[in-house]
Amino acid sequence: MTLLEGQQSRLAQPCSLVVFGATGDLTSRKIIPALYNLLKDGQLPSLFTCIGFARRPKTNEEFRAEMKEAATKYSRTKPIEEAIWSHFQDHLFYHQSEFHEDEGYETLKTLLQQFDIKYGTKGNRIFYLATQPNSFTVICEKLHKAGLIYDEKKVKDRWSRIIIEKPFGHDLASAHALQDELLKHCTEKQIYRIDHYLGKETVQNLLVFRFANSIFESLWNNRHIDHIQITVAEDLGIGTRGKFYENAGQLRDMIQNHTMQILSLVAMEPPVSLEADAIRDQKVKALEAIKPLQLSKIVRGQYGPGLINGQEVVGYRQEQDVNPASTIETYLALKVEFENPRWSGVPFYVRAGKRLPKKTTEVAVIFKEPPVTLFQNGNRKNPPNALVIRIQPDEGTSLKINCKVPGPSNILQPVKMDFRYGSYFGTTPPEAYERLICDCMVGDSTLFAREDEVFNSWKLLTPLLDDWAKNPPKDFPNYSAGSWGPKAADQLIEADGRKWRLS
Amino acid sequence: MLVSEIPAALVKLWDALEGTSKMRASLFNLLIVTPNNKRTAYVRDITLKVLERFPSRVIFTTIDKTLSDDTLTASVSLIPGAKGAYDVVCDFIDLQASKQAQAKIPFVILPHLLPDLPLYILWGEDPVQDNPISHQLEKWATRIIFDSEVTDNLPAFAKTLLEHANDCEIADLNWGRLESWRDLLASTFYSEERLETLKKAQKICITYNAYETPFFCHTKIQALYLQSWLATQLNWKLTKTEKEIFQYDSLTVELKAAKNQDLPPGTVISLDIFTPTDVHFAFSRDPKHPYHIRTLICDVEKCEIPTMFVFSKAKSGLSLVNEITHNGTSPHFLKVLEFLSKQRVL
Repeated sequence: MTLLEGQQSRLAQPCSLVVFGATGDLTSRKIIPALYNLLKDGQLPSLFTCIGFARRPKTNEEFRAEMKEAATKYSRTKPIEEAIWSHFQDHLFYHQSEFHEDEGYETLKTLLQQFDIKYGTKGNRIFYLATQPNSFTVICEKLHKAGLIYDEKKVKDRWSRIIIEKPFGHDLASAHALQDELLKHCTEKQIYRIDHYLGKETVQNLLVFRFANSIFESLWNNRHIDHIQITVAEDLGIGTRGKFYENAGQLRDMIQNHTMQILSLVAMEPPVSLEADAIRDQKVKALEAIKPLQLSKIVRGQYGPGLINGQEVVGYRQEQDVNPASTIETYLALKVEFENPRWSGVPFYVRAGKRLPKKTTEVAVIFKEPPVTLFQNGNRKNPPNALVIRIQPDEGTSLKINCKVPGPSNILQPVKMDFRYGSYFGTTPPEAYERLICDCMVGDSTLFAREDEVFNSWKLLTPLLDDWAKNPPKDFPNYSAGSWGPKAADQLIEADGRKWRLS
Repeated sequence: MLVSEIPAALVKLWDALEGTSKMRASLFNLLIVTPNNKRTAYVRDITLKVLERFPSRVIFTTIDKTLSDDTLTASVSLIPGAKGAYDVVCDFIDLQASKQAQAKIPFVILPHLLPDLPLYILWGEDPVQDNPISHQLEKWATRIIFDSEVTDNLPAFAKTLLEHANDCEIADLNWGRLESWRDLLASTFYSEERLETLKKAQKICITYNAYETPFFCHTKIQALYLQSWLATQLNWKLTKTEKEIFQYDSLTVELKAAKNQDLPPGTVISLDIFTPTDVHFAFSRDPKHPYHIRTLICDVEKCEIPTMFVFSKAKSGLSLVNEITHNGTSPHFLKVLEFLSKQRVL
């Protein structure tokens, strides 16, 4: 029996959220502003506490003041409302401990039990691991040891969930090793691997767009689609993340997770239901249908000095904490081919890079030419229809079609039908972290990556890493900051008689 | 303003449209690259004429060679576009760059091109003088429209355009301006018989407007294009050139200069075709309506009733509009370029 109806049935359950790495950037820039906005939008359970867990000594008051400053700066909605913040900070606490010290977890347990009584959080826990990946295992081990991760078989009246940030492993073997370690302390069902791209409205809308619109679903195959381009471009460089990036590179930072998630959503077959596992099963099948990547169809690049927004910027090798002879890739373009009835013969060209002319993430579906070209434009073919799904910024969808220029002759001009979330719905879409944290509170894992998704992605990409380890690039830096990437990336697609879209 | 301030300035302009009847629209990207000289105002004027017909996002780039430092500045505005049911406005981004700063232009422009819409470039610099930014922009261009007015060496210009044509669609403003004359001749010599008459013509006289203005001084180009077009389409064999005379076996083509302040500089004023059988095809402008062309065909015995052909597209700026809406590179124009590229000096 329930009093809830319709969409409200997704109401988040009472819980305590413990953020490990509470003094880090992710907490201040994303997690705390997300929690504040969830409260503001009435999405946060009324029975809720948030505990920041970190090494640095700090009082609750100091932590609250810092988080208020962060929320003021990074919140989606501005200015922050004093009354709401005041209510939120009454439920915000700081807990100081090293990640490897048992004592810190015992005191955390006591604290959480007190909160259960005082704030009615009912023993439900979310542990958000916003830390370096090398801390994941030790934190889980200690949480388990302290009895903070429940045995699902025995404990039915309350739950514990663990949100893990990317990267999940640095190759296939390490991903397996990490998973094996985690499973010693919790179950796969308790793990929520966050990929904030999946929390973006437009990524979620991919499913709606594909499966709730018969005109598109019926065209979504190799009979009508010539090829698909996925672009994940950033105009920013690596900023102060030099140390991290030197160990990661673009493949680990963007391709293995975000880009592969988008790719699988575009390529998957219709799920039998909207249940988390039904969707994730289809995503995995899509990833399994990808042919092994050909090394000759991969282009990696690294930016040199150039211009962004008219301002001179340094090359990757001149960035802070970067080896001046670094061979780490900041750009990657690849041709992905599927071996299944839907996509056989339809290449997916994927590119992701830093210091490109602008920040944009989009999926462009380029359709085949009509079977009979009645309206030939002189010696030129008409531009193909293109359906573009903009994931960020300026979320929306556009469709490029050919249209007759008014007048006596049959001259054609491409025009664009454009739908923009911002213009149509008039509100700023929620931040991805808001949706994902809320989903975790609800217990909906649809928008979190399952282990087999991660493994399949690594399985596909690890051979590249192995090859690169043996064959360091000789031409880095091979593109200027502010350009659309290396020349070889143009050649990759042009060899097939196609061209990158001007995003 | 700094070029980094362009996005914020555009958003501010768009926000100001809220609640008004004005609507932003863009059918394509129009990039203009022009030196800062007496011709700049004219180029700006024809750009505005394009907007009246086709709303588009304009990036108007002026290279100012008088600036010695690394200057690159911008301004943005909304320009009224085509009149219709809505008040359409278009984004107009103005860039001013010193010679030293021009290498930055492709980097500045790329983020501001509207995706999935054609990019037409009006290249107002002389393409003969190699400019690295033209090659960078070329790969994104749907078509590049050159302006032969800016060159002092037409054969070299033609040769350069042919090189560009390998990678991109090309056109030229003067070629566009000649479209009405080409239509007129095609409709006059519509039959095999008439075409044969033209092919065997003895003398052709092309009178062009040699009246110069500060922004238009290479007045012979349209006349040269016209005679080259006839020669290449009718397979005449050039035997000799001398100043303004072209000798093709038994045919002489003469370009004659005349001055007429009422017509745009360089315009073909009249055309006379004489055949060995004493047939005279005279195409001349009506003195009262200079865009009305009177065609009179006479032989030794009689004259046909004169006919009138209206040059409806000849108003200023419409040649650029025409070039934009034409698709593909004209094969006729390519033949003309091949012909001209083989000449020594014109």
